[in-house]
Amino acid sequence: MAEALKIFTQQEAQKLIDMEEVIRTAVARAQNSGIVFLDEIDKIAGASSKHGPDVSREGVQRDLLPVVEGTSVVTKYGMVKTDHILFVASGAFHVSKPSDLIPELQGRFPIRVELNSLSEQEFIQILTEPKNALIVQYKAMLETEGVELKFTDDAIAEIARTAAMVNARSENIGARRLHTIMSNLLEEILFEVPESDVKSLTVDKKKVQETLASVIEDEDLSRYIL
Amino acid sequence: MKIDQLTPRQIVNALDKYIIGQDKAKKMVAIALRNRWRRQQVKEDLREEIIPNNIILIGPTGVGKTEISRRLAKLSNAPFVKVEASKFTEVGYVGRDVESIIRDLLEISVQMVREEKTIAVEGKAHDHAIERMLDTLLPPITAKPKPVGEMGEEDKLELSHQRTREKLRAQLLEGKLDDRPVEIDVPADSTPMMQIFSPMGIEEMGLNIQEMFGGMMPKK
Repeated sequence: MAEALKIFTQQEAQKLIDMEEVIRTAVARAQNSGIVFLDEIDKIAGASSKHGPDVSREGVQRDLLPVVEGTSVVTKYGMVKTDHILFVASGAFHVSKPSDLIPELQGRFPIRVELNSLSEQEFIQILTEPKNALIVQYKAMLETEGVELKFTDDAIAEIARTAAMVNARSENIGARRLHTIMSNLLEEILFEVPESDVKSLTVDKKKVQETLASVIEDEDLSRYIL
Repeated sequence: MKIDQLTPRQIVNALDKYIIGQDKAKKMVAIALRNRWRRQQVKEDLREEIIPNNIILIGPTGVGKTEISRRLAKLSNAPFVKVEASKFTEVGYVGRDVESIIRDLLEISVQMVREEKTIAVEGKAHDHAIERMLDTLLPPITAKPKPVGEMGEEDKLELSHQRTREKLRAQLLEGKLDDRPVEIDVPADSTPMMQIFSPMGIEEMGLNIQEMFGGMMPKK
């Protein structure tokens, strides 16, 4: 009955909504406040590759140009003007530079901001401060099992230090390194906890070092695991 | 929290709750966001002339480029799509594909607006649903019952019918009947397993064809 009522409610809601108005609003909103995030823009910068079945990167840039500059795109909801859509491009620009983009496209991205690599100190903040911080997440997850998970300050510092070190030694993947380290660190706990009767667990510096030591020492191995 | 009331500083503060560091980038996107609002306030003839200052974020992976943009969109309740530019260099690429970004954006926008509207009409929809449920449980005897006060002796049956209906309504509203089974007809949600394969570049057409077929299938 509850289920049936829910279905009825959905159907009635459908009837009450004026789909045409929805589409009008949606088109206006996409045109005036839509945000398009173009990741890896650096991959289409630079000289077009001369070999292989690769599509010319410059060609892609030329295709992007009208969309970024402002054109009308036909969609099944009608025409959408792209003039006022905000484009945010991003890229590492390791190999190519923003100036390798075709000039027309460069001109369409007047603002350039550089983001810096994260330091150990920032890793500590990332682990603890944001509302959705990793440590907050893991704590909440273990709470569902009735276990209180605690990290000592020096444990967090150690995690941050390890992350920075691994980043420096192998590929620098930024804050994502914290994910891999945390999941390695807590692997045992996450596996065992449902069948044990501990109510509280504390992760300290020693625990961090012990758990991660074997993986870190072997540089080759850490390339695959951390 | 509506974006209209957020100053660039407040936007930065809001981003600070989720992203550490990168103050410069936060500042720039906050300005960009505020500029869009400013543009909306400008007189119409000039408004068309103002184009957004698109941004390039430069930096290694994992420092928060995507996260900043995603949070920004959430904060401003704006439709947001993320595309890997490199996907356009893949084999099989056709020029028109770039436009699919905008189509995706619109799709998301429609979804957003529809959800908002659904929430807005939720109460009303619920009322209607209750009425319909009552009709299902206890089909009305006459098409147009007279108001209770005007009923005479001969309408006794109708009167008791109305009372039963009210009783049922009360129980329904209190959730007492939630666990009782009831049989209703539900239209099949989606088009029965049917995939339309279309060559790249005319994906739009594929969509429309699928919709067309969806309409042709009788709703159960």
